[in-house]
Amino acid sequence: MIRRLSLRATGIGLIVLLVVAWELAVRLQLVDSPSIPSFSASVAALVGGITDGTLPVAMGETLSRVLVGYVVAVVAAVVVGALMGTSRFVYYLLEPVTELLRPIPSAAYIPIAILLLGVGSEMKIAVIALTSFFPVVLSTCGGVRSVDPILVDTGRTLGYGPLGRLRRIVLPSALPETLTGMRVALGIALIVGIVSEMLAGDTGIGYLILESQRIFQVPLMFAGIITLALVGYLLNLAFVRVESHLLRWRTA
Amino acid sequence: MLPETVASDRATRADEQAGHPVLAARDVVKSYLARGGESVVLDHVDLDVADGDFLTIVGPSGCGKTTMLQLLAGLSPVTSGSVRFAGTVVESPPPGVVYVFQQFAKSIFPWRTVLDNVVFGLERDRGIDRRRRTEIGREMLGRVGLEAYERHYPGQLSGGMQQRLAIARALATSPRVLLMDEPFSALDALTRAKLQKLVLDLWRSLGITVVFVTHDIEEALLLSTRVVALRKSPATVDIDLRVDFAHPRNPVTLGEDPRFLAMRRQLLDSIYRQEGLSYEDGAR
Repeated sequence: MIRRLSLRATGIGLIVLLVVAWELAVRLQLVDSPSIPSFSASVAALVGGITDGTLPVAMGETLSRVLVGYVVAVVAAVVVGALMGTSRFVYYLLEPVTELLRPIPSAAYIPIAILLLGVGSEMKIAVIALTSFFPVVLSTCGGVRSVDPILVDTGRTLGYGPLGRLRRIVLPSALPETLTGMRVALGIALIVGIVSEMLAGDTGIGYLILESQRIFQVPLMFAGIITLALVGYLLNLAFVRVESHLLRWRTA
Repeated sequence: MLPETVASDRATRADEQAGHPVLAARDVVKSYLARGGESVVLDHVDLDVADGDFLTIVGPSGCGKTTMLQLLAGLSPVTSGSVRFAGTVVESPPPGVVYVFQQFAKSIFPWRTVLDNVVFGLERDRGIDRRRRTEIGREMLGRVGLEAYERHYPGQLSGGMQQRLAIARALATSPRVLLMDEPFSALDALTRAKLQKLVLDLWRSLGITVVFVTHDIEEALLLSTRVVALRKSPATVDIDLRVDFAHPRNPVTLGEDPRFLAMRRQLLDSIYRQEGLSYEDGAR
């Protein structure tokens, strides 16, 4: 326990060290570019951006799109993944398409989406949903296909029909795999949400970061990036909490 | 105390009893399409299971014991012929007949607690509310000696406890027939003896019908009121024995009863002959 805590402390120590190095590098003018602000200046911009509402508003715009797109993707992907996992016909129908589309880098969908849906929220949500759909569909399908047939037959002998078995046996049994896909998808959703804002429109934290750089408000740019790091960290932390609660039977 | 549904079932059962078998297999053929053609697992088998019987199916490996049980459970369709439960043709698993799997560990839901596993079959029934479900679940866990483990997850249980859980879950739905496929083959001898006694006690106190599959002749004779030996090629009934020793049976003294030994020899002869085992020690 003490050993683990001291190991933790070394990791946090490294972060402190890097921050100090950043601060010193700027103050001692070791960095060539005059426009790179110090860490303290960036933190000041962060505090200012939070108190005047700029950062929370921008982050809120981004997060709401990311979460809507993500939730739509997860719901659709669980349904489609379950269908692919249970029906051979659906599997052989959709598997080639997903395998073909999956390797396309998620940001590459954005130009197409702009042509179809413009530069507003619809476009961004659509791209977020589309790109976070793939990992969840594939992991759910894999999980459903690997459900033990004895578990399914147990449902049959205890009187459950196909839908009851899907809901109470097949999907719960595939949940660990589904959650793995959902975690990957959450990262993708955040990246795509931000890149889409950098490419189109004038809202969100992605736009704020790029725009601050263009108009030489570099401390605000760093403040935006620090905000993203903190929000990303908290999102992942929340995800891990929910995941380990849902899968608590594994460690029991 | 019994769940009410069992008690009321019992009453209707008396009316329809009039000698009708609770399960009836008629002229049952089961074949699979295997590489190189059709392989016949069961070839025109007839089997009646009387209400309240403890019937055990034995036979050499690969003779179709498990297949027969799955046909009776409605888990697998007959190729031709018919299976009837209480007079109705079985096409899918009928309510009232529950199957306990040989690989019981794989039949338990690892994400559900012990109590939530036991009540699984009841959650389908909208007539039973949550409180009643929990009541029945606890009653069943008590019967199999798992009452102290209701909040545990199955991964925390030993093999014997998992099998108790699988049995309790099956019985929670108040079935008329319990089908058990080699339920104790994966357990050590002492755990097996305990579970044999448990299943006998449950059979006697709940008044259910049990159809049991095993390759262990002594286990068959210790538990059953009737033993059916299947043979392979053609896969039909070879021996049909009524085992009328009074219950409760003492496994130690029963093993010395000359009638027990005669039945044991008859069954072993059938199986050894089919497995191509012959002993040239002159014994008859």
